Amino acid sequence: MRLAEADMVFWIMPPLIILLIIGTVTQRWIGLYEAQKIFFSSPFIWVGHIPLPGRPILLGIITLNLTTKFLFKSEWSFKKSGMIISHLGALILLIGGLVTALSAEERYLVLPEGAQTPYIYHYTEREMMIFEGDKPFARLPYNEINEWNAAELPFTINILSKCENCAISKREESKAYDPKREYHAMAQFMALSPKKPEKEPEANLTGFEFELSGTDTDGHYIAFDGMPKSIEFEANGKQFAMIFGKSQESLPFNVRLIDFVKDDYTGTSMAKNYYSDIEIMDGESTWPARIEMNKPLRFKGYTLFQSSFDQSELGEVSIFSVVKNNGWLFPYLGTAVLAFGLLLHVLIVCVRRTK
Amino acid sequence: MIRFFLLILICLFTPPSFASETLDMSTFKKLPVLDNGRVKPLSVFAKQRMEDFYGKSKHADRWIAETLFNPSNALETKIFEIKSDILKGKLGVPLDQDHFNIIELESGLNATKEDVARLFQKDQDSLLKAEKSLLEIHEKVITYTELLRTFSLILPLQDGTNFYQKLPEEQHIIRDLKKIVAQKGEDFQNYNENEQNIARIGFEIQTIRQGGANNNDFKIIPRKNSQELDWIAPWQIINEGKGSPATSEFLKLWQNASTAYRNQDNEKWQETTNILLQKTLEEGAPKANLARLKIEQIYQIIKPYNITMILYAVSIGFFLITFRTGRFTLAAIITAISGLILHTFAILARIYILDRPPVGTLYESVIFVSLICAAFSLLFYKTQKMEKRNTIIPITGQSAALILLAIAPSALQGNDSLELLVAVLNTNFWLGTHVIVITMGYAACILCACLSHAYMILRAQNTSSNAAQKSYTNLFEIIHKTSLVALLLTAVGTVLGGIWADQSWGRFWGWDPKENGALLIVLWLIWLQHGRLSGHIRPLAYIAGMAALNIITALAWFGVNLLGVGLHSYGFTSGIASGLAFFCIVETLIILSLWVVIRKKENVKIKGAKA
Repeated sequence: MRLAEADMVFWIMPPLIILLIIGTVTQRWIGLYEAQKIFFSSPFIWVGHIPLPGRPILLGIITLNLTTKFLFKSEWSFKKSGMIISHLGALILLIGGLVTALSAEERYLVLPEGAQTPYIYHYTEREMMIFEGDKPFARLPYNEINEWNAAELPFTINILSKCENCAISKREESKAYDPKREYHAMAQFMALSPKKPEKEPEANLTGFEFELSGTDTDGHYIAFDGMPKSIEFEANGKQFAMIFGKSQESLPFNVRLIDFVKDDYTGTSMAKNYYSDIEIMDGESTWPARIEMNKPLRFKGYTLFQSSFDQSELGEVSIFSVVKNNGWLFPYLGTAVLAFGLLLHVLIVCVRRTK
Repeated sequence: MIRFFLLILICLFTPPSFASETLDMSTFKKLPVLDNGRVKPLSVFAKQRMEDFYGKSKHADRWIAETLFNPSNALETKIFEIKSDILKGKLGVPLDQDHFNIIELESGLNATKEDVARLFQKDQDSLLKAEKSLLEIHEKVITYTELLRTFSLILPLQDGTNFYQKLPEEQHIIRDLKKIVAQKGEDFQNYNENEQNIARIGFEIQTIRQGGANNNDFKIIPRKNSQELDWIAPWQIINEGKGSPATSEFLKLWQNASTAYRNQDNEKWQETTNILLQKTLEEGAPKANLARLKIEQIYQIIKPYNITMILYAVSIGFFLITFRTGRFTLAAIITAISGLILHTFAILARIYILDRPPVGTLYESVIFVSLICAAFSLLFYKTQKMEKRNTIIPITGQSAALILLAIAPSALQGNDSLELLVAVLNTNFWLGTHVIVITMGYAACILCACLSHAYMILRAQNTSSNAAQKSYTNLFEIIHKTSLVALLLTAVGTVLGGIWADQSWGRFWGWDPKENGALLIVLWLIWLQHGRLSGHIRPLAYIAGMAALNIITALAWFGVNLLGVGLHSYGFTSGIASGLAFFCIVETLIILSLWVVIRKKENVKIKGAKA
């Protein structure tokens, strides 16, 4: 079987190595996120109009090669045992990679000391949340912004302009300023214009200008990431509010931050460790836990990592990465099998050749 | 600023100039100081500060004693090294000198204050070399000034007392002084004798206090604060209200030491420094540990890596003689093992001093890889059957170890090689597993690449003797085995790194440059192995590919740090780009040249045989 031959790896490795080098070096200019999207996540790399196989396809071929080799072409002898086991280890790692790519979700959780929340946020995806009174009414993802005007709402949102990364300027000084228009809320004072996106998309100030109709206060509005105040209006006699920001989800439990500690080396401001003492509130039960560098908390399929912090006069804020990854066990298993197999192979080769 | 600083010092009692050779500095040198987050002996602190200012260190312990206890004399010391003519011109100092004292620099520093303020506003990465050196000299002068003022609170004033003693009366004196100024104005001549005394003392107190503000570089007083142990500089007692009966006792002892120093009273000096050492060790335990301090002193004095390099060089010489004549094998092995033992002890000393696994910084990775290269080469040599032993292996391994030790200092970020680690690295488990395995992998890669170079050189010579041909045929086996060891270590090290990343950041793999660098080595080795197995890569190409492993390893090890992106920000380095580029180009040229020579000679030979 051709697919099980060793030369498959020989032919697949050079493009993979080239892809790895280009994807690594370009990070200096385009950032990790963009490089990952172009060179490591896309099934195809487009050179002009020519599609070249991307990393998922190349690794897919190697996975098939390893599987067929393992099942149909393995020489089941002690002499080859190390090699077979190490290939099995590599296969487990690749399958783990596939499971992770398909299932892993990464979010973040921001907690001031003393506060509690079940809410976690997406690093890059944004959404417009609409409330009717106090109750959530609708959630409009930013990546579907072009279809918002067709959304089934008691009012109409017409997008006028949008920017992945916006600069904020004074309304009167903006190019498209029209004194005859009805500007409302923050749009009265601020205008948004596009600027070069940041290397890391979570640092972008995403925003848009839009027109509301079918409300009591129709006119020109703006919304942007982390807007300090919601947009409030009436439509069909009901009170609505809109707020734009990172996409929000809810954990199946609550987290309360009791204390965040930045532990410095004596006499310096260089951190030796960071940790957060938290409380997990799951239904009726509440229990304490500590999350620190290299020691995450795993609970109900979620893993919480100490990722960042903020210390200001207002108090301390701890920031956690929240990861849900069904494939997290694969690397542990794959590493053990790979290490054992390679060690066995090296020993067999060394002993055989010394003899 | 300098003028202000000079004023403060003039206020201090100026004793006659003493050379301190009469004092026994052995205990003084051991006194623990907290610097850059760790406790080190005073001699090491002094050496590092002197190297910062002077470029090198000589009698650093005597220099620091003079600076601390006799600051007005220390003003004359030409402690600042300036080599750049541009900077000398900017500061208005003579171009034919390289060393200057603080008085000589004063006017130049004052004249460039505005430039410095402007430069601080700019992006530091965009500064020119001359601009950076101007900022550096200003920073050095500030640090030196702080050192000079360390004990200004306990050094004698004109009336024989000191600032610390006058502290209870400070408010009273300042109030009186304000009254006098309000009544008689600021002209000193209008005051009566009593008022002049008050004005003089008031001025001294105010200037000394202002000079002591933010003075917290020289942390020599351990202070127990509930459960935590803090280390403070003398001025922090006053500035931050950290005084206690224990800290007062320390200040008293330091005052006695300074008096003994200025009086050149060796007996008193020894007695006081002995008490100071005992007391600091008692209060500062467990961080202040005498055995650790002594080991660090020895480590700094004997410079073990210099001796190791000499031993490796001598063993290479002996092995070369063995290669040519078959003699001196034992001498070669003994010197190589001696080097290896010293190298190991030096690394063990670092583990003991820092209380953590041996590799946590780029510099440490270089000295560790060097050790493993030397150890692997001897191991591979000794495990060969006696009649098959190939001296090319230890020659290559020892040479790689020697070169790595020689370039190790260029991987240092400052002049302290015993650095603390950032929080994410501060884990003994992962430093002891992933980092050790991956650096051993780098070592195996380098050894494999160097052996491949040796193979190509021997084959390029194309000597017809059977012995010569045997020597490189035998090497092929060794290279193959070494490459498998390299693959084992780099592959396992890389996935262990992934597991660490999973523990720290929540993802096994993030395509971060550091991760990709390690993967690059693994992919390269897998490609060569599978190419060889499938017959697509012939033996010579296989060896050339292994020789190129040097380039791949250098890029993965050092190159990725130059990108300055990703979560592994602790490994970023600057200033090695040109050296790395030069290495890669030269290596490529060497490998290609050897390839061409071998192919040419062997083609001629085949044609000759056919003819």
